[in-house]
Amino acid sequence: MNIVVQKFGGSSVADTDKIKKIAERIRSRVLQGNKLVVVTSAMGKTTDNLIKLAKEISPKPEPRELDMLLTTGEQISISLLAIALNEVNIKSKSLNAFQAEIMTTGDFNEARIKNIKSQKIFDLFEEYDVITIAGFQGINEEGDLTTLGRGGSDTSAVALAAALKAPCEIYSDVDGIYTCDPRLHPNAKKLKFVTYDEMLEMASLGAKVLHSRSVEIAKKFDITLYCAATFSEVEGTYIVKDNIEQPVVTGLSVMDNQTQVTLSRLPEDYTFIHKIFSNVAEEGLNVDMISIIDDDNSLTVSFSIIDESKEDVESALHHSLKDLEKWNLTYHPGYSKLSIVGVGMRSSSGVASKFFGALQQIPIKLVTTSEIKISCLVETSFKQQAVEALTKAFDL
Amino acid sequence: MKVIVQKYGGSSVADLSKIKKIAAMAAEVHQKNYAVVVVVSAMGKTTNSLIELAQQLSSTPPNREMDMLLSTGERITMSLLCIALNELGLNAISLTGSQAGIITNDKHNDARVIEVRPFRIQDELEKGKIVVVGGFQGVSYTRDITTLGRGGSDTSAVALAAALDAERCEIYSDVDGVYSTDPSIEKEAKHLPEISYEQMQEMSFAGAKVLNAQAVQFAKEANIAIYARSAFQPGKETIVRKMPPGVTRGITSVVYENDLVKIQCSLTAEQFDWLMKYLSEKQIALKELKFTAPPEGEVLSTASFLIAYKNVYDWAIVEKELQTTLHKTIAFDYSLGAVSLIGEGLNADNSALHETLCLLKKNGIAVLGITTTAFRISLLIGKQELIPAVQLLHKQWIL
Repeated sequence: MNIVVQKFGGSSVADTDKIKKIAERIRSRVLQGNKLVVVTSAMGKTTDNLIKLAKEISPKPEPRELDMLLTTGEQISISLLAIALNEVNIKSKSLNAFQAEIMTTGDFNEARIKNIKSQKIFDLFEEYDVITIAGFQGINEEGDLTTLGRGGSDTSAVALAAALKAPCEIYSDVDGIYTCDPRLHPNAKKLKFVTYDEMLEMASLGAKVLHSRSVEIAKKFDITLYCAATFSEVEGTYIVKDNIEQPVVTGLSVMDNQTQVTLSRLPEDYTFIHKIFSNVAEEGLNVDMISIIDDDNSLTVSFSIIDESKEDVESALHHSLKDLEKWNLTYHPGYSKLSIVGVGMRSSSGVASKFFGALQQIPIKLVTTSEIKISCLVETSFKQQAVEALTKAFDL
Repeated sequence: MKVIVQKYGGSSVADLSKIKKIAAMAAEVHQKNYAVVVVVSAMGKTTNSLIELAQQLSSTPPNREMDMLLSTGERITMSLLCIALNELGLNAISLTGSQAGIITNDKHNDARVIEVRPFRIQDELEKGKIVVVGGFQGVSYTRDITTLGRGGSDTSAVALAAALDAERCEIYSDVDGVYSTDPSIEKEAKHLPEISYEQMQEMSFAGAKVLNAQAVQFAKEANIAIYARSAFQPGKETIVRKMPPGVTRGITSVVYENDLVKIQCSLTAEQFDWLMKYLSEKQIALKELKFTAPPEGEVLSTASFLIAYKNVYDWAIVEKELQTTLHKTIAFDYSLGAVSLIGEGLNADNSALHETLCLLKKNGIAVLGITTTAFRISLLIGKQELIPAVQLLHKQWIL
């Protein structure tokens, strides 16, 4: 059986005309001999509207009930798509999370998929050509509906592909992965191939196309992903294990709204470092880049966070350092993080020197590197200049 | 644990302010130490909008997919109601028809409840929670979502009340109970404080939209009293319950039904078999079926029956199919309505029927068909004369 999993995002199923178009698209694949599992998100702004309704009743709606509410969105779009497919003579049946037996952990609003019983889908393919399955949702051990958090429909699609050992195609209003955000760099090129590792490192480039959790699953089960635009025939991007083209640097990722937090005049006692970061973690905050400088018998710790978390960081720090005097805390909001990514870095030298060479006119605040990435923090006012320098240096 | 089941219809949950009011009403009963189960319909016109979406895609949407689609309406209401109950500081949990254990047959769009397994509801009630259940929906043995047809949320509520051995089942809508006739066409309609199951069933069958007929049947079987009330205008109510025979002799209400089609055909034995099979596959309910075997030496029998065609999603297609298969001998008459007198002991003698016929004749209203049972006299008349007939008969028998 030639099974393919396809996923269509909310803007691709925003109204019944679009649903009809998708049905035609799916039909042509069935006529080519494929059996399809099609995962959809909720239509257009449905999820946002449901959240709004819930918040009008309660500022903090009970997570279980919120999931019960939100999961209706996908159930509407899968049943409508199944109706549209049957109308064009494609035998199709919709399954919600109960019926598809998508088992998750019990964490409402951010559950994780534990397993999917694929046998039921194989059995249904005896009678049907297309099974439409509600994305973004699962059921926990009690039989309650859960949702998978942001980008959850991508996760559903890739997990189904893993369970069925099938390739997975993700359709949205973005036609693929580019070397750089075209809004920052109009000459950015579309990539034909990106590796899983690069995709995971290029969060900002990929986020609008594919959620990183789905890439992690694809990597773990070696599922070939393909991202393309729903209503276009232009070729998209394949996300694969190895890129045969092997460029040294594949892309440049840019993230705004970074704040640098600097703590100085800390005693030279590394137990504080542990305390600081465990309290910050308890607040549920993601610390990104970190530097620690030991100078004149005192420590300076600097790290980056996203802007919105300032108050949470402050409370965490005051909690960690309440027994100390004289320490100094500064915030610098308004930074951007630029990262160049490429699996080819593993086997090439001189990438760092080229990176800093390109940026020598720009004050760099923090730097981190990994095997396949170099990142730096700069003031957002320098962002455009840095993007131009780096795309030129690495031909992106 | 004393259980009360409450059911709120679509107009009672049409917006968030109404949902908040209902939360307060359920909370009040809960504070009186009752275990409370609330059954809700979809908000306002939600179901109609969903049907409209489906019809933009297909004129013959598969029934199974329609149920998948329509059942979301009640799920939206039930989760919002739970959020509102939580906001009042109460513990509440919403359950789909499937989670609530409402098992049905697989007749999508018009499924029958065949069993209720309320274990999850009982567990949650034991924990002190208010349980909110999506009405109108169930699950078949193949785990497909089913819906119970028009007024199905009433059926959900009464079936749950029966399974939980509830003290009573309260059904809230925008009217404060059952009247001797439709108050929107007869201002003098009398409120009925109580009525027997049998009479209520006959009223539902004859077209009254207050309570679903299957719901009343369940209530009767389990001897659960139904309290029909208005959600936002407290005061009056109608209790549907078991009544000693003979208490309500005579005519208690006048009910009418529009949107009927009378179908007449002459057909062979094979064609009649086909017709019955086709209509039962389509799950279309027939009323007043009359069948006459062919006279000696002939092959064609005659059949006539009524269908409340507004209840059939794809009536246009059914009509076409009937016309194609029985083209020469079938006739559809859309000009009819039915008026029914509901009461008890109506066939003890035929004086009620006789007086009624005389009255209608005197007023120039032609009667085109008559059906009588112990609880009902139904007359088929022209659509235009329906409302005057209701008013005449109501004046004659009720006032």
